[in-house]
Amino acid sequence: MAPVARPVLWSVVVGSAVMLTLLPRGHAWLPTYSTVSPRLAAAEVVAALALLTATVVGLLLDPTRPGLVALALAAPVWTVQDWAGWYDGPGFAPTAAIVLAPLLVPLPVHAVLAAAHPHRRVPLSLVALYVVAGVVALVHALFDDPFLDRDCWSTCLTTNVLLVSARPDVVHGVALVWLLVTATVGLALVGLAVRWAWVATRAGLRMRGPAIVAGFALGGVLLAQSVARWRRPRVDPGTSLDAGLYLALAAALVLVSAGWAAGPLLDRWTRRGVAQLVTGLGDAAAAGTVARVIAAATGDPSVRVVYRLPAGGYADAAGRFVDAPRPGPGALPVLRDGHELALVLHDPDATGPDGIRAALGTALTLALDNERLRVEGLAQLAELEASRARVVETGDAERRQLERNLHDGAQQQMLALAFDLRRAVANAHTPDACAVLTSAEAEARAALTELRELAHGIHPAVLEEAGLVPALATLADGAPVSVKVQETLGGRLPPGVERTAYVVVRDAVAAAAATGSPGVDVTLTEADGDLVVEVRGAGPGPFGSVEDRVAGARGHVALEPDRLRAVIPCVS
Amino acid sequence: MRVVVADDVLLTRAGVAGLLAEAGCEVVGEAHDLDSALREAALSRPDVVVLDIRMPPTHTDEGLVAAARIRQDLPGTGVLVLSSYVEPTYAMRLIEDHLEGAGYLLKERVSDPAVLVDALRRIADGECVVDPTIVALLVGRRRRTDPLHGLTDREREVLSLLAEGLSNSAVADRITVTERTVEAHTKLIFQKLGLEADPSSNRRVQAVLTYLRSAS
Repeated sequence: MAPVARPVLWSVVVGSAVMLTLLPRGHAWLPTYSTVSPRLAAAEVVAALALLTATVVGLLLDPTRPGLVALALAAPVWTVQDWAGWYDGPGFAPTAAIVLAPLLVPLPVHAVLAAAHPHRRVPLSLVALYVVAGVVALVHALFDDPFLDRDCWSTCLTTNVLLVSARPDVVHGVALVWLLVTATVGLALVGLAVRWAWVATRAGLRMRGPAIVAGFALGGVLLAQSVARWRRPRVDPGTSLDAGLYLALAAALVLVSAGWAAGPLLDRWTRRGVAQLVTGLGDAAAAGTVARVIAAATGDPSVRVVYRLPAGGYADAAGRFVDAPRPGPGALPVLRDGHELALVLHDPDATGPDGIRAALGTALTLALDNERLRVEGLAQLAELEASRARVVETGDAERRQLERNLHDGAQQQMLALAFDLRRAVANAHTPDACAVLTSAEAEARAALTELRELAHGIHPAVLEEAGLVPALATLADGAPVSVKVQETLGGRLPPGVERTAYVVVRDAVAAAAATGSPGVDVTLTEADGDLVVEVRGAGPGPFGSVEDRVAGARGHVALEPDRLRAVIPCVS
Repeated sequence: MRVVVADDVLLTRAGVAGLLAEAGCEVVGEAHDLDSALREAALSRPDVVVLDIRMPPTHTDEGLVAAARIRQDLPGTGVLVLSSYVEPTYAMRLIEDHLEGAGYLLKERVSDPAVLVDALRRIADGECVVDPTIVALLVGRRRRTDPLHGLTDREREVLSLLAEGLSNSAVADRITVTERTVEAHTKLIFQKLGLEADPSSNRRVQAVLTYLRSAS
């Protein structure tokens, strides 16, 4: 609803307050509610004051908040109801009561809906309800002569100053339809309140609890009223049933006022909390501080902040890449110069975008920008690490393929050649030919040996097929220095981890051979999801390629005099 | 002798089959993967199945898998695994599973028909065969305090031949001494290395290989 100018609403408030002083006094012999008992008069005043107070709270704290106009108008519409039987008061008074009566349904319903969902547009069903209420009001204004109303009681002696022509049947029919509509609205409101309570998150319940209670109470009273009118159409403030219904409606209106006013009050309260939290934001705020502050300020623990990366995509406060969040309610973009810096992800039922924006403020936006810069750095680092791991993996895969190609291609061809040469030797006719062929066969076999060693050097097939420990045993069998391997591994490790560990030991053995060390001792242990490879006796290095390789597997190498310790994480 | 040849590379399979035929063996079946090797072995009941270690479907250790299955299901059929890998691990896995009638040779070795036929005959006789390259690798393995230093050259030679799976008489033939001399050498070698002498030649192979691998 478009924001109504504040002065108009203020005058509605003042006008309603004046109306309260114009209550019918006790000299009437046809009583209205306020003349029947002081209790009912007090209820009327209390409910009216509650509506007015909530309106004033809204005007002071959040004048553009949805539902404020409905709430402001509900106060006079409620007060005017009591004028229905004021036959000796101003002539317009009973007419206003009759004509405005239908509006007492959509106005408080509107306030409840707005309180429960301050960020949603006015639902079409509510607009329809307003239209129907307007039509009913019009029918009453034009055709309702209280004197001809067969169920009149308190209004019988009053006059409709707007009457065009008295059509009691039309009025009666419309009244019945309106009764049905009211019952439906009451039932729907109760159902909605139950549903809100059912689906609400904890934070949502905190923010919407008052609105849910108000919806439940108002819906119940509307339903009860419709049923009572259906069974006994005549309104009689003197009966305990009608007096009770009046009291119940007054109480429901108090709850509606409270339910609506809770919204701006809670917002105000959380904003003050943010101000305090923000002053506590240091320069060295820990990762995720921004989200924590917003969560604390809005009371929505589900708040997360994801940062837009310059290269596209999003990362969380720790620099981990996250899937792009779906746009829409619950994902509020934080912009600067039209560019998205971050998305604040929140529970749309608990906090609206206004609450988040209010929580953000200048100080927190600055902190958010700081965090974004750090996240950018972290994300770049993560990308770099991932890219390095991919380079290593690709290299490994290519070496494996190369080994396979050698084994299945060149080695088999050379083997077939050796076989053929051997058969040619057997069938050679001259000693010269035999000598040449024998030497060719020897060369073919030498080439086979070289090919085999080349293939093994490129990628030891046993590492893939049998695992790290057998591969290291073979390495030890053929090593130029003594290699002792001690291991306490439970079984196979991820292929990348095994290859990295193998390279560590292989290069350490080569380094040991180069420095003339008598041998190396290798121990393999698993600790906290890491494979720890320790090599003693490999000499001082350098082990640059080992360090690169281990870092490529997201691990690290510690070098001490005569001890190399590589820690390789087994989960990436 | 009746032989089945299993190798997924046609060139190699034909080469081995050709060499076997020229050496007077009867190639009674050929196979190209794990399943067909098992099927041929069961159908033809050969004396020995020659298996490529790397065959479909996974191209890893099908030869060893097939060898184990054949030795288990067809006790009268020996297995010779041909490999391009100088892998003591594979050789030992083969003879650990089935001590007798099994052999592990490098492919290039079998281009000499005499070596191939000799190996097949020994396997058919229930002995085991380990490629000399692998034995040489293990004997030559670097050790910080090498117990093999205490062996004479001749004793080392005998130790290697024992590790290749040769029986005492075969060793005697190879180094042209009497079988009694080989027995005396064996006894002394085992004493020096602190190994228990086992009368069964196959168990002896395993003991020697394990010893050679573990001493560092």
